[in-house]
Amino acid sequence: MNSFRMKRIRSCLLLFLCLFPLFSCVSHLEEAKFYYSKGQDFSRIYEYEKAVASFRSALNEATIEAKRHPSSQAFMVKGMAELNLQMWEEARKSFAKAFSYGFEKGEEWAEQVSILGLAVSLQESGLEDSASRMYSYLIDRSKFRPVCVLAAEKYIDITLIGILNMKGEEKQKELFRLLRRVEKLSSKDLSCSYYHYLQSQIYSHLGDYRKSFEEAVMARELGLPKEEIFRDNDLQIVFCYDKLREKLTSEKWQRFQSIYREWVKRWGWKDHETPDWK
Amino acid sequence: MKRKEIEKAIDGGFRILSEVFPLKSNLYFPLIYSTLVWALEKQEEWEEKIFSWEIWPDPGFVRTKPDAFILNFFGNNKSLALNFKEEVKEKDLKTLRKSFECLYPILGLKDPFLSCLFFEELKSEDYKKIVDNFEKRLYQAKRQLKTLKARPDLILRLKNFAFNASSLGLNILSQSKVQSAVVGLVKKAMKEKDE
Repeated sequence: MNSFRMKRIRSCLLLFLCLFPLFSCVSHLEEAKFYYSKGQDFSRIYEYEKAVASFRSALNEATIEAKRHPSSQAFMVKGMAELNLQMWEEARKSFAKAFSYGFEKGEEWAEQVSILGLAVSLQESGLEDSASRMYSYLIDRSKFRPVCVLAAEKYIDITLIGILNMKGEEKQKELFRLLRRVEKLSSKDLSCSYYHYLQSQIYSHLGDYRKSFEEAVMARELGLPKEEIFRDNDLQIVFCYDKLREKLTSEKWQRFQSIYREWVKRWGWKDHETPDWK
Repeated sequence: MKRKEIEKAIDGGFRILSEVFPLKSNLYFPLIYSTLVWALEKQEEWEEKIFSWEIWPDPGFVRTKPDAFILNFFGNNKSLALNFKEEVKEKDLKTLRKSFECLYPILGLKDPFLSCLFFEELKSEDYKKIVDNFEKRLYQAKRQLKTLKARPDLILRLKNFAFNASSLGLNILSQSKVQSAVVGLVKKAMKEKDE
């Protein structure tokens, strides 16, 4: 009886030892994917620090997986985590590796990440014009959403700083040109909240506070990527409310106020000028 | 909760930090306070939160806000408007924009770490002093944070401090009361160290 039990234990142990490497290899990739998707979830609800922690865990798991069992998937997840952590050169290498293991878009993604990384370096070195041209190229050409959104963010920052120094007609003309560009991006990717946030900012520069308000509401409803942008967007909504109170006729103001009250109630604000986080 | 227990808890945090930071470091108060707040909120990502602060206070979009938004920001806050009375009246956007870049993350976006870093100035509503000292103090704080980052042993002890503090029932007090208690005790501890 005892020897039968020992045999069973031994065979179970053997089976476990044979299957363990298989389980562990599956689990690193699965873990990497799990943490990556957690990171995306946290980003969507403005938990930036938690998102960064999840992307770091995804990167650790994907790195182990890529070392032990290199595959296109392992390198792709690794590259995506690196991209979210703004590790441009590492992300480029990972996508190039993913391509060499059969991921078709890997080469294109690696090229675009490399351009983005170069543009960021140029901008940090003070060569903003050259950086701006590269961002502009990526906005027009890239079908890779994270790269396109990051390039748009940087391009609009640089362009708006230039526009702030302009005056009169020239300023208006440049603002409209910038607005058309972001509208084009937004029409290709309607669910991207960040493009609505950017449109809200540009409308605000143009003094169109009603449209700025509408875009900011849309951005808030779709969910913004970072907490500071989320808060800035809320303060933009309050600012538009203040400006519209000054600008609108009594009848239009009444109508706007009732709409505004509904939104504020929905968001759980303390009052019409105090967001819940304040 | 008894005052002695709070004193003991904060003193523990102070002793940990004094091993790495120079005397009269500006970082004592923000680090102890934010450690306590995040511990009370049961934030597991306490470490991430502290070190993400290295990048948080300088979001690019602050530099590109419209002029009207900046004027509204200074005009809508009574004590801000008083501090910048002349600049608002003259619509001196060059000065206002520069000041906005320092004050908006604190007063607008409500960054907890920066609020502690400039606690004294905020309390006395001396906003121009914040603008004058902003870059220097920020640079110092970032440099000191890097020193802390390089000492995982201290981070671990600070984590334990946060854990102990959270079990003391500090959450009975409001955040502003904790803030006042911390600032008083940190000052007292620094004075003792001076003597």
